[in-house]
Formats: sequence, C-alpha cells, structure tokens
Amino acid sequence: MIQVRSLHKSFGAQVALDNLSFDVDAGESFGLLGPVGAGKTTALHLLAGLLAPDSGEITIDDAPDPTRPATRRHIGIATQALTLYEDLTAEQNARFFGRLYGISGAKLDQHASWALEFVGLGERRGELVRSFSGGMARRLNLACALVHNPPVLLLDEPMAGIDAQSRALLLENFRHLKAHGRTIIYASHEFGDAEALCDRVALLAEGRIIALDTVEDLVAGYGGPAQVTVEFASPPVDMPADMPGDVEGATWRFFSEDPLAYLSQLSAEGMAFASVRVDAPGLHSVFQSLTGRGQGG
Amino acid sequence: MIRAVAILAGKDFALLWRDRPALFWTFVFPVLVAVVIGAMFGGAPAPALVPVQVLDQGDAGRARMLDELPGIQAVRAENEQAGEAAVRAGRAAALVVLRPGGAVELRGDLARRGEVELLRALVAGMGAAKPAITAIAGGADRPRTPFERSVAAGMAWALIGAAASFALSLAREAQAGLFVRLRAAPIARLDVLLGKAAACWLACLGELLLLALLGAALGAMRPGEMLAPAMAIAAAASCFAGLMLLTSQLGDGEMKVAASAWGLMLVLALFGGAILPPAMLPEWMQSIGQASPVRWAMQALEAALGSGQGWRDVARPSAMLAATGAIAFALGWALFLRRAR
Ligand SMILES: Nc1ncnc2c1ncn2[C@@H]1O[C@H](COP(=O)(O)OP(=O)(O)O)[C@@H](O)[C@H]1O
Ligand SMILES: [Mg+2]
Repeated sequence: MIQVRSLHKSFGAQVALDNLSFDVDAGESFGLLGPVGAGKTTALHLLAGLLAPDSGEITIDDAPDPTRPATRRHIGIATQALTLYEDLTAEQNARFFGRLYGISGAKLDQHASWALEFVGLGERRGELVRSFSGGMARRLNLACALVHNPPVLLLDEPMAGIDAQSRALLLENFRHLKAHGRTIIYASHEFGDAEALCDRVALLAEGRIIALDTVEDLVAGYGGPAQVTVEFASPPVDMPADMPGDVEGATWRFFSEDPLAYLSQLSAEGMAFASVRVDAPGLHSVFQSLTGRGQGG
Repeated sequence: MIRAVAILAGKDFALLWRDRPALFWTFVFPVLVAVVIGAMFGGAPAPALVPVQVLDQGDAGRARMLDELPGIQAVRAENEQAGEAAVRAGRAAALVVLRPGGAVELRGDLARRGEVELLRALVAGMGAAKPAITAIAGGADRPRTPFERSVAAGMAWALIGAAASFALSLAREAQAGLFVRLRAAPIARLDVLLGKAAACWLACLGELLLLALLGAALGAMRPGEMLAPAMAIAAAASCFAGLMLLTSQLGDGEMKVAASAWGLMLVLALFGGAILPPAMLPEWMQSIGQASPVRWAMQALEAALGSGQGWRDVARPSAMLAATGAIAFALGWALFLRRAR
C-alpha cells in the first residue's frame, strides 16, 4: 500500500531524515515511534506531500509522489499542530475539508456527520472551534482527516492533549478503522497506545530507523528482563548477598527474566512485602536497549 | 481549479461573517464615509436654476427670451469653444447656440440629462422646433453634489478596508499553519491564494455596488453606458485584491501584516485623496498622489458612476488599476513561494 524508499530530508544543516525506507501493507497499522525530534513529523509530511524530499521515493496506493494532487486524494492526515479554523464551527471545518477533497451534496452531509460522531463531537458540531478544549480540537483535527474517507490515514501524535476517557474512545475508533481495512501510520513519542494498536512499528532515532518489526518480536528480541519494584513492610536488615539490584530504604529494584524465583526465596526467609510491581518489557525497554538512553520528550 | 477557488472563497466569507473588525472596515465604515462626510459638506441637491451658456450668432431676440425664461440662468458664451468648456467644467448644463435664421442647437452634458431635458422643453416652448441634443462629455474632476465626492471616497475606503482585512485574515491563516495543512488537500497551491483574492474581489464588488445604489439614492450617481461602471468597478476590485495579496506577504504573522497592510493603505489613501480631497492637499502631495491606485480608483469610479462617462474615458485608469492588481498579485505569489520554502 505504501512504499517508502531511501528518503532523505534536511533543513539547512539539520538532517531530519536519513535514508528512510519501509513498506506498509494494505490494512496494516504501522507505528512510527521515537523521541521528539526523531523525524516522525517530517516523515508524515513527506508522505502527505506537504514537503518534497531531497531524494528518495514514495508510492501510496500505487500512486507516485504525494506532492501530486491526485495522489493526495488517497491520504488523510491529522497533523501534530492543530490546523483548524477557530472562527468556524466544528461542522463548518469538517465540511470545508471534505469539499476540498471533492465531496459534496448528500455525501458530504453524511460523511461530515459520521466523522464528527466518530470523534465524539456530534453534539457540539455547531460550536465554534475557538471555544473547544485542547482535547476536543485534537479530535476535530482527526475528524477533518477522516471526512473524505481516505484509504490511508497518517496520524501525527493523535493522542496529544487527550484525556484518559477520550483516549480509550479514540483507541477503540482506530481499531475500528483498522478493522474496516484502513491503512494507518501512527506517529508518536508515546509508545503505549501504539503498542496496543500497531501491527508493526519502526523505531526512529535521529532520522534513522533503528528497529522495525512486530511489537512482540521487538520486545522478545530487545526488551530484556522485566523491571521489578518491591516495597518491603520495613527496610530489610539482612538481604542475601546473591540478590540482584539495589535496595534503597524499604524499596528494592531489580531486573530479572524470572523475578518469581527471587521473591519466593525471600518470602521463604520470612520477609514481608508491602507491594510488588513487575513491569514487563515494552517498546520503552527496546528503545532504551537499542539507544542506551531513555526515550526523551 | 474554479471549484477549489470557489470552496476556498466560500470559507473566507464564512470567516468574514464572524470577523467584526473586517465587517466594519469593509462594509460599514465606507457607508459612513459616503453619508456622513457628504452630509457634513452640505448635502445640497442640484441647483435650483439650470445654468446655461448661450451663444448668440445673430438672433438677439431669442437670446433675450432665453434670459427671461424661468428656471434657467443664462450666461453669454464668447464662442463655441468657451461655451463647451464651461459645460465640460460643470459650470453649465448645456450650451445653446442660436444660429442666424432661427435654428437652435442644444449641446448638453448628458450626465445632467434632467437639467438638459428641462432646457430642451423650455426652448421648444419658445416656438422653435424641439432641438436635438448633441452630447458634450463632462469633465472628470467635477463633483456636482457633495455626495458625489463622498460616495467616491466611501468607495475608496471600501477597497482599502477589504484589502487590509483580507490581508490580515490571510496572515492569520498562514500563522495557524493552515496553508501547510491545505497543501495536503488535492488542490494546487495557487488555488489557495486565488481563493483569498476572489473572496476579497467579491467583497469589494459587493460593497461598491451597495455604495453605487446608495449614491443613486442620494442623487450623486449619473451612470452613462453600463460598460463603464462595470469596467471601473471590476478593475478597482482587482487592483485591491492584488494589493491585498502583496501586503499579506510583507511580514510574518498577523501583527506585522496588520501594520504593513494598514500602513500602506493609509498612505495610498492620504496621497490619493480619500482622506482629504486632492484639492486640499499641498501640490507636492497632489503630484505624488497621481501614482496612488486609490486616486485612479476614485477617478475611474467617479467618471463612470458620477459623470456618466463612456467606457473609453475610464479605460485608461481601469487598465492601470487592473495592471497594478496583476503585478501586485504576481509579486505576492512570488513572495509566498519564497517564504514557503
Ligand atoms: N521546518 C523545519 N525547519 C528546520 N528544522 C526542522 C523543521 N522541521 C523539522 N526540523 C528539524 O528536523 C528534526 C525532526 O523534526 P520532526 O520531524 O518534527 O521530529 P518529530 O516529529 O519526531 O518530533 C528536528 O531536529 C527538527 O528540529
Ligand atoms: Mg512530531
């Protein structure tokens, strides 16, 4: 569905993307994850034809070069920066963007209503965007990307500023779109939602892909041990020397593939735990182990 | 392309509808200028007596009869040229030439048809055959009612207000990142600017027509053939739509564009005679003002709507306006592309 070949893009001396290549299949949800400044937005803007690459090629739905208007018909983009007309109503915004893609008449009515309902703004369609909260505006931004019902959706930080409740709704909606065959590229510096949604993810750092695989395979390959945090009932006086990790007051942190072995040993020695928390490895740990640092921003 | 431009312009009208300052400067203030300024300078209607130039070529009896007719104020002309010049300058509605042997010729300013027709009826009443009217084109700078000048000034302010307001709205849109977003849609980049220019052009057109109707109600409009006003209005609107685009590119962000757009427009207005009548400006300002599109617009609109001149008479200022609009649009487009890189 989407082929990206050897994309390069620089802004002056700043290299934003360096030899970016990947394929996304029809109906696939593809994550583009990495810290702020990794080049995710630049990549989506190239895919949407908002920018032209310095070199490299993009094919979308068998159409070449998204800087051509005809190719852009296949794409819907929800930009990271909110791009809405604040002095128009939610509905006027949605209808305007629909019209730009050649939709009119009854079809436009139907699509605009659907898109607004879809993001949970059906009731507030007549209100000016100026009066919207950040989360509502973010949702409308998404509706405006959906209104022409494109086969390919580019979502740039779609959860930014969204409260927990709307987040669950949106995640559910993305799954729905996926189930209906939409191809989604999901760019975010937060890994959690992408982990839940994406079939495959590319981890991006400083304009390069440092890993690309399914979430499970990445975690299995690079995730490393689980992180365990134990709170003792009181600071332990005589921790056995063969225990991993560090003790600080009553808190014990360690990494292990098999934390249960250590915990049952201590329990057998009569130590009481106030709480135990096991953080299974995720994309965070993958990113950390690949770059030797945290995900930043 | 036309479809895209129409959609974009439609969006601009929806935005304009919610933009109080823009509505005020584009639609309300020009009407205030036309009505209030005109009334302040004494909205006296046409003079009670019809001023007539009389050239007596050997029919002194008739000449004296003319002098005594009620409703007219006859003045002797030295010769044909002087008589016609007086009509052209607006000092008389017509020149009556009394040929030896009783023939009467009536050469009138058709923009003052009412007065000329009255005169013709009176001349016929003197026992002569009803004379045919030969047209004398009136002069351009010759307001006959105070409203004629103030309506022209109102029209200039409509153009200025629309240009500045749309330049601002364009800057606001660019600042909000919407032009980048619009590039994701399957439309050409030129369409985006054409849409804004089309909306500005239509707003100018609408307000100029409104002011023309208002002027007609105030007795300040005497259009001749319809082609002339159509040309003058279309050209003036094009000029200011182009200037709108250019000024919108003369700065980054709403505040800077507000300063550059209103700054430029006020200078053009001052030198062009939309703030004070040209006659009240010092000579050096008057001569600089010859280069102000505001001046050309007022001249073309006054000539076409106020003095009923033909399309040939407004062709020159209209062409200058249209050319300025096209050049300004091209410059604005070039700046837009440069800044988008
Ligand atoms: N228009 C621009 N001009 C200059 N530098 C830019 C521009 N857009 C992005 N960059 C730079 O390119 C890099 C990638 O940015 P971006 O694609 O926005 O990253 P992300 O979306 O992953 O946070 C950053 O270093 C950023 O500063
Ligand atoms: Mg980004």
